[in-house]
Amino acid sequence: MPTCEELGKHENLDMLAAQWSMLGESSSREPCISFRLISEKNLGVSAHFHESALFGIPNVSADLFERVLAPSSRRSYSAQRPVVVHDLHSWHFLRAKQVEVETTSPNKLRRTFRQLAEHWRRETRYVSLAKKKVLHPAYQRIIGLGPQALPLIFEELRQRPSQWFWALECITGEDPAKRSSTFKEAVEEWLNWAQQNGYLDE
Amino acid sequence: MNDETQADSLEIAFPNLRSTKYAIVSPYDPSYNCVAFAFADTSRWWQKFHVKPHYWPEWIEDDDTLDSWIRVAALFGFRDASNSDPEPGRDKVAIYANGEEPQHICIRSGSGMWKSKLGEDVDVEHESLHALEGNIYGVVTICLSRPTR
Repeated sequence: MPTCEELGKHENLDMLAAQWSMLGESSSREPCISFRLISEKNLGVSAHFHESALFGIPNVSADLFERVLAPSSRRSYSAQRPVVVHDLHSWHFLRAKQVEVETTSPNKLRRTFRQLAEHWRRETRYVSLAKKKVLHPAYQRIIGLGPQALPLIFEELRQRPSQWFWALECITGEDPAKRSSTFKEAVEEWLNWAQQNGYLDE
Repeated sequence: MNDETQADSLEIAFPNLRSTKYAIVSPYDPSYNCVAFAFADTSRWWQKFHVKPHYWPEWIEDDDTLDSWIRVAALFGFRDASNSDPEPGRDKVAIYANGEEPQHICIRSGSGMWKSKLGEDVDVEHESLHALEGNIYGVVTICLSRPTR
């Protein structure tokens, strides 16, 4: 869990982190939600927020999430889009690891994924900036599909390589390509990881 | 995608291509972007992004300002150019931007055509800089040059 210093010196983020720290200590047994902070300057910083801390921040409330009843009766959250905290200017919050994932039929999932992937590709194919590509709403929705989308993303990566690394890192919490120095090496590392972890047939 | 379909897509995205001479010179390749291409690296994307295998000179703090792109170009010997005209013995790069945010860079050597890598898609040669101006890349904001290497 990052400290305030690790999260950066951004004034608004400091405020957020401080508030999180204060409330987090007093509610350590509450469900913890993992987020990935997304900003223009600092993509990919992970943070964890306790429920009460998150909802204690002005303008962040439970209605930003769709609560679903998990089979285990535990509460879980299904955020299918980035959660924007309006009073924190450019900071956005995207849940990186879902506590539970809604069950979706394989056919519906595949159809949804294809539509989103095609939409993303069509609208960003000429975009020169990777960060701009991964912040596209369709890409964010693919991340929101969670682990169930991994076989589809890996299949896409194998058939038609593209900027899927960020989505894979967000969903899996892993980065097998961290030592790769070329795009092709990164693709190979991720496909090897997918095979080793049963997401892709050889 | 065949060349005709490819060209149709390009001209929808960049309508100014219809009124200039251009050619698709290499196929779709997601391995690199325009910045990498301009500085002769076709193995990875150049951007300050923690996700591997993106590359950006680590001593240049930003990647989203014109100044940061100018500093990268300076590493390769590019300095202010008085114009974007073809000039034997000189290479030129042109940076497109939306406002202050750089979106694209292309390069020309001597009196040759401009060369651009378009996102993860194709490489093209285009006669004018105006060809790629529009919603996606904005407008040409800066032109830099160096002696041809």
